[in-house]
Amino acid sequence: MSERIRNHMDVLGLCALLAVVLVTYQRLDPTLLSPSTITILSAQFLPLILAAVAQTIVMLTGGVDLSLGPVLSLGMAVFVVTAADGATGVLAAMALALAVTVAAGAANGALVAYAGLPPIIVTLAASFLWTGVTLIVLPQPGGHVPAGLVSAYNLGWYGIALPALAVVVALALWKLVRTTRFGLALYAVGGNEHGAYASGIDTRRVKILAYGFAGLFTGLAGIGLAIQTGSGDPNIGAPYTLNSIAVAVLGGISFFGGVGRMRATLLGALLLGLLTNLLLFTGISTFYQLILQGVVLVVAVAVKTLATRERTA
Amino acid sequence: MTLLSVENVSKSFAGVRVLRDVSFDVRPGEVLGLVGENGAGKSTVLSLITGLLAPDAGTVRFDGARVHSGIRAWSPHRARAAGIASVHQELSLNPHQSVAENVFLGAWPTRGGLVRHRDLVARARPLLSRVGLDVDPLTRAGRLPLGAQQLVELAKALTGDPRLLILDEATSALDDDQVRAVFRVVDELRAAGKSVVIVTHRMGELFAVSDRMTVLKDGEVVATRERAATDHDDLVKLMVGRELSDMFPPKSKDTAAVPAEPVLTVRGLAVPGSCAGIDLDLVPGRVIGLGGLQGQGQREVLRALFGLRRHSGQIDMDGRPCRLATPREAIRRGIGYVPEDRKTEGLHIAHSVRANLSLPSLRALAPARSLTTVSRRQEARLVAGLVDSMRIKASSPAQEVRRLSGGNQQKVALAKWLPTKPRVLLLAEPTRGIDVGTKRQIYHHLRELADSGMAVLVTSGDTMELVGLCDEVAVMYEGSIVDRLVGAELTEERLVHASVVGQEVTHV
Amino acid sequence: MSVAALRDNRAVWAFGVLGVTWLAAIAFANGFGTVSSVRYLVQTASFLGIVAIGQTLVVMMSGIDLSVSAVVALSAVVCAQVASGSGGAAGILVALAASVVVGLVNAAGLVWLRLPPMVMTLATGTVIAGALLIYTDGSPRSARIPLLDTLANGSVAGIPYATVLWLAIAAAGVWLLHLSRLGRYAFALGTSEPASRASGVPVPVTTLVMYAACALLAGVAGLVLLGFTGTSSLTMGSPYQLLSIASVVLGGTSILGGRGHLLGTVAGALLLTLLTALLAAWNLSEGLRQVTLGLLIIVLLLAYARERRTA
Repeated sequence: MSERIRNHMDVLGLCALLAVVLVTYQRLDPTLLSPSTITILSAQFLPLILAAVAQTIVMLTGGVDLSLGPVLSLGMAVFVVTAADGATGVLAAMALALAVTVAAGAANGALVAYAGLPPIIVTLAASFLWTGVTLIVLPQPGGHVPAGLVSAYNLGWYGIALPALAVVVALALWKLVRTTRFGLALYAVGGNEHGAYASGIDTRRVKILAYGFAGLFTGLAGIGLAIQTGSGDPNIGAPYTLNSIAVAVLGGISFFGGVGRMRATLLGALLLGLLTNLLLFTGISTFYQLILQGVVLVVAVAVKTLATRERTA
Repeated sequence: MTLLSVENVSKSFAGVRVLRDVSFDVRPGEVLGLVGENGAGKSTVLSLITGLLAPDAGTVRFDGARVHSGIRAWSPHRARAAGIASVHQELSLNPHQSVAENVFLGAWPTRGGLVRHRDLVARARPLLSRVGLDVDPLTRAGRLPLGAQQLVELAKALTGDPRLLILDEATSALDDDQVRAVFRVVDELRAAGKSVVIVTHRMGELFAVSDRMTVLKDGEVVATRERAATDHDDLVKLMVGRELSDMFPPKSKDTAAVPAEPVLTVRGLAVPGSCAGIDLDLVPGRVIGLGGLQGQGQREVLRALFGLRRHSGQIDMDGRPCRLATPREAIRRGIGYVPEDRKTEGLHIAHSVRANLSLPSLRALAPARSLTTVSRRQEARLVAGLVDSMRIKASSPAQEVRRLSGGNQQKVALAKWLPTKPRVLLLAEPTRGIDVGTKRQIYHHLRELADSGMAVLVTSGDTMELVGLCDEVAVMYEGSIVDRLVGAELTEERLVHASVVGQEVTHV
Repeated sequence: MSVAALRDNRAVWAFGVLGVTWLAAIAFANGFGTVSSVRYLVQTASFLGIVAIGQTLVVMMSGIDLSVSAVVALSAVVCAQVASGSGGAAGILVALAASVVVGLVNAAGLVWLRLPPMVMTLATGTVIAGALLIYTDGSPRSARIPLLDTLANGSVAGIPYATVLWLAIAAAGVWLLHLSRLGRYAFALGTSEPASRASGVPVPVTTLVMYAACALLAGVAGLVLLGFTGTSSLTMGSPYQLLSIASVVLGGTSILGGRGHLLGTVAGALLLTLLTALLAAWNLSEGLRQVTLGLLIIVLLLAYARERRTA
């Protein structure tokens, strides 16, 4: 029994912290739970949440994706360049953007799986590559997002918070993937790669699929960001690389692979997003935002590491 | 009629022949023992069968079909599909997933494309009870003791209802009860007409289960014998190429007459959750053993004395209290430690023999007055001396330690402490997984070190080793010392008895 | 040295690739053969080169420093700010001291809080970026400090001072990493931390010195950059974060630690600078330049930087 509780300590701890932040937030902004605030906040948080989901998938295999930001920009660029007015135009552009980011992710995965290069190096080199491709697709900030979509997304669509819905759908999709053989193999490869291989798991295929899925969620994040801001910017993705790592780490995802839960990543993203917004309300300069991020990261990980060390060493 | 046949197989790594013209076969309903010293090529042969490696020449046939031919290469995946399952000394479990998930690792049963945990648990239960393991299938595998993990590995191998089961040193971490459970499974398989290939360094086990034995030496098959047609001495002679009569060196000469002052006195040592109330006197010139069943806290006593585990209790060195909170403090006070896990803790296996041997004595090789620049010449002299005196077989001091055989690796792990002039040497399982010839050399080295005035403390799961090597053995049970055997009392029977009596006493 | 040993020595590979690339540049692009172009190239490579030497020190012990970009900016911004009030010398000293403090904080987080290096240095980098915003109120100053000006733009016997400084630092780095006791400890830590602890390697001291040295060198690079451009900015360090790691790896050092040679990093930094200059000379668009650079890095890594598979 204690085993199960221990398994959920991360999630419980994050939930408790999140509750405190939410209560404080509610005090400062009583409209927190109104549909319009939820829509605005979820639109604001969606890119980070989905980027962190993507980073989590890669980290579960024991890797890390330093090209996440550039791939996010790439998805955004392809979307804003191809998006035409009307539902079909938008959907076609989304499909194309996702196809491109999935291909980029799978290419990263193929290099990791076949080249014998550590993921950090592959994705570092790939970050130059995808930044370049993005600049070719969209050299200057600009592009086009249908205005109707932008307002429906940011202001609500018949009272539905579209970004929140998108996050829920994306997480449900992941939950489904997680329960397939691939989902279990992903954890197996991250936890003990050689063992997984010796047990007959096609570790290369698992890695390529994992990076491909990461590309999918990164692409969704890019599209979300494009719709939120109403245009494209080839350099906007850059900070998401490190921010997504920070959120995943905050959620307890291990750098060594095989350990961590997606719901903890989600909580980590919400926590960081809400804390940042809280700063605005408390009137502290936004300059402190970065310091807050850094301190939260160190404190969260240190508490976790020291707590586990007491038990083992 | 054969199930598996290995025919004239050869294999080289980087120009070094590790297998030469190896042939043997396994019949249905038969248990074949594969024996040989470390580096004889057993693991390589098994890797060819399980698809981890491909041979340079020769063929492997399973069920009459050549496995290393055709468009698709032989792989662990295909081997498993064909009905070959294996359990290795090195675990292939994922410590972070549940026992149930591990049992079906890579072959999870699905319904509608999805894996249902209830199914996994329900199907894992009978397999776990078959290998005699009573654990919650939802426990994380990494939380189980090593022996239990090994049994999970066996349960995993049984999932596909294999026709050939390979046990590669699969019993090394098991206690007697667990070994019996494994043999029960082997007997069941044999009765059902399935085949088993077993590799073990424990001769007793080998004779208990094998129908035939194939002996490998230096990458070649030297003999295959029916069990009835051979015995222990015959096999050792085949493996080593000569008889080993003086396995153990003579013990220290009647130290009881002149009791030397202990260099290290331990009183009431306790490591939370592992051991408590441990009293030990480590005396120069004596080899003291810590015996008992596996995992009774022996390992933690050693780790505490080397500053790797937090502990409480009184530790005196030369009669003065001393603190051993970190390995550095322990080393400064003249303690050396050869851990059980030599590949992760005992050695830097990716580094050269030279770098490994000089690491603990860099302070002397690079003193502050030379601005801590390491003197290459002194280092070379030190390393050459150690390689020579310990008879470490390496192509050069620059050779990476991972390229050495297990026995030579262990010699490096031991030799690196000698230049620090330790007064106390702690060794955990000093000969685990090491061939007979090197074992003998290590026993003699340890005795020489003791004779030169060192106090030696050894843990071992091998009863014969403790009896043959030690002057005194303290028997541990559930974290306490329950008996001490000295002189004539120190026999295998007494030692085994004491381990079990401890069991009875605490279970009253 | 035997042929096999040579094939294993990736630092030698790095110099070989550098030489071939340089010859190719001279043959196929205009203006790479002249003395002045070489001088310009080694001068611009110095900034990256100095940061990359620091990065090598921590990568060798299986660490990584993602805060170097922030430290480059920190050093330049602080120096410019302090110099405007208390003079150039004070500015330089304060800037270097601040850099070393960052390195010590990084190491402290690794040693006593047991944080993964990527997390700790990522966090300090973020905190520094925020602190600089507050310190400068968003608008850092420019400063002309004669000493830095000479260091960045002057030359002796035709060799830029910046390059001389870089090579001197490289020499000191070679001693620290390859000849001294501490360097041996760093290599040991990079190969196996548990084995190093159990062999009595002083983990805290080694970590503190290497991370402090890395941050100090990032600080030095920031000062030389300040001298070169005459102005400081909050983002002036950004390119060096990933490029310094790329230089280390292209120089043949294993990102997993414990293998490689510091001199390889010198070749790595030169190679990256040369490639960038070459792509600029071909008048490619920014996008194509990045694509080509990325592909070239991948190809070079495939050629000689693969990790040996542990079977």
